[in-house]
Amino acid sequence: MHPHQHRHSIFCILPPHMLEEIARSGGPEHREWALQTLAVDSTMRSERVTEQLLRVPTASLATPHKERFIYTANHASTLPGALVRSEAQAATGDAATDEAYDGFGATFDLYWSIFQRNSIDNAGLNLIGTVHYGQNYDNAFWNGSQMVFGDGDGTYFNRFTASIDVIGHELTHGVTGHQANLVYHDQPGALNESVSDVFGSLVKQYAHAPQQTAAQADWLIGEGLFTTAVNGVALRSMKAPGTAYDDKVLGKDPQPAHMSHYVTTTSDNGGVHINSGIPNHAFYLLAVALGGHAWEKAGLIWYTTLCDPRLSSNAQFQDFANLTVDNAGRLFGAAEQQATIDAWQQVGITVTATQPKISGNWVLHYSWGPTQTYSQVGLSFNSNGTFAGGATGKWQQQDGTVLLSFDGGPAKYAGTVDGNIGSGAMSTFGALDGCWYLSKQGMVGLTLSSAGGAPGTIDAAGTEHPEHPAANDRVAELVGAPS
Amino acid sequence: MSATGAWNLHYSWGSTASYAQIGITLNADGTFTGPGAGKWRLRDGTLQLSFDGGPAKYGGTIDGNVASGAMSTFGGLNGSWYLVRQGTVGIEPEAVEATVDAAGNELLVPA
Amino acid sequence: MRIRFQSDGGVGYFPGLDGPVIVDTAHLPPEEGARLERLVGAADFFSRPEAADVPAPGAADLRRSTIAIEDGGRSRTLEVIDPVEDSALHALIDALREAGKAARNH
Repeated sequence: MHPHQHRHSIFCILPPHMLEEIARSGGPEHREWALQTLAVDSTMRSERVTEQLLRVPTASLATPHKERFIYTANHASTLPGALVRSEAQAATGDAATDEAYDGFGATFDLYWSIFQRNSIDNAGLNLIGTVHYGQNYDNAFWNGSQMVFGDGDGTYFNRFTASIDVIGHELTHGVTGHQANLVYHDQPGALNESVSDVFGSLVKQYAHAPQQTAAQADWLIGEGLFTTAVNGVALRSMKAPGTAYDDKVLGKDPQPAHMSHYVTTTSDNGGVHINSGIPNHAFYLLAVALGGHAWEKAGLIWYTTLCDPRLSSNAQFQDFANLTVDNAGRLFGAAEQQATIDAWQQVGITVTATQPKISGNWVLHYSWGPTQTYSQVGLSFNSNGTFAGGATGKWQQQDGTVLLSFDGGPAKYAGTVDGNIGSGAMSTFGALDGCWYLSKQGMVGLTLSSAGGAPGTIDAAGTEHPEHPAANDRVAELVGAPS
Repeated sequence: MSATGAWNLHYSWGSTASYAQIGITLNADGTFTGPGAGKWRLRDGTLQLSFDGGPAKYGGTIDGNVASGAMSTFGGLNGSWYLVRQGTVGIEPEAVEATVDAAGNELLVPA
Repeated sequence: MRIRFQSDGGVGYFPGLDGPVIVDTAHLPPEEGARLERLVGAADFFSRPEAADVPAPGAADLRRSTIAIEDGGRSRTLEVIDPVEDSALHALIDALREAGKAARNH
């Protein structure tokens, strides 16, 4: 199950809560050691914690560190240039400086408030930008550690700080670099570009006053960058890829909205800004289908996938899609998972999802006989096929059929699970038969009956507890040990 | 609902596209006989099987002349199964040689 | 002086700006031709080693500019990636890019 790895000896003697603290706030090397140690710790609690820690990077337990530095290159091309505005300083009156400052803030705020991510590297990295780069420079870019903005050529392009989603787009390249680090060519590069468009668009919707729902957003990237001389509205459209511009000088927006129109080219690093239209459109479709604010569900599914250790730097569209579907099921449920499948299907990518396996905390209600009376025991289902809590054992699930085996007794359970409720029958294949149902913890509207395992009852595993317990059993009950 | 009678059990360890078959008869006393023998329980629509000669436990749902579900040895082998009442027309099983028997025992020679 | 200029990359991909810009300064209006030749001289183009820049790790939306110039008996090809810190070279690239846009605007 867990491969043996060399562990720093000190971590072997630390209790789980201290390991968690180190995993959360220690440096990268310590974090890795703490996580490895937690991973081989066989208690259910640390396994659940480890799973949570590994899935999405946890923010530092300290307060979020928002630290912005805006420089000007003064129309030269040396970086970073001269510092013109730092964190908490008042607006300077220079549009490019103040737009960059505000855009950095909005991007930081989205990532912290919604995704608990502490800046680009999730460790409070300073946000650095240079404005007024070059003369008539009609571009903006991320150089690996900072943003650079041109003023545009004034003929076709305005200044590049004018578009808050472009700012979010560029900073998100930094996030991607610290997570999946998708290589910048062909399909992984198009995914890299798409992720930047997605979160850039979320920044724009989040920062809008009032905040926009998915239905209200325009899903345009770089609106406001073109002058009136250009026949176009934006660099790209997630809602309708290929329609953002059709201009004599710039040409026609080449983005496809479907895999059948995937563009194979050597330009643009294999078309990373072109084929990003396909995953962009999938995100748009999902966000609109799920409704509400796009960052609540679709955004979280995408963010979780970006941070998912299973997302490789060479991921193809299919790999990314598969993970979004899996994460949609894990984060939310069957409806959201199906919506994610449908969104990808509409852009020509087929994902076959397996039904999410049972996981988390449930209450097992069981009745031997069966009678009208059900006893309960709390069970926590781990992803490795074991369960623990009021009883321990193993579980297997094939589609909707669930099988349970208990460590402490002969009972075998079988039944079906749908969403948050399961039901079925159990037997010891000896003298005992009965019925059971499972409910997800936190469900409202279900009534409880008596607890099980008391003297004179049979527990969930099918083990009888004597009416008058022996002295040792009584002591065990008093001290809370399982009998 | 009664499950007694002669059935064909089709089982696939690993839930592949290939199913091996054995004929079993479910007896009224809660036992079943055939190349594998064991015990069965039916509670409303939930059917459970336990083999005397191996670790596998079967569970699933039965509707009329067809049942389906999952099985496990809880020791590394998992799979899918379906039961068809003998005499049901329209379902043509193809015989497949099994490498693990229905009870969950690995076979040295295919059945 | 014959110049072949190609720009690739950037925050957006514009098909109209993708193709090579080919300029022969002898065929341009005299002022424009002289301006370009002046920019090439100011950039000390023919003294630069032929090289291709490599993008920094994690960088994105950079522009890659390929400039091939043939003048008399001399020829040279440079491939540079943002940020082009040399201001003279930067000015040359800007001018070539503008020439490309202007050519499409007829």
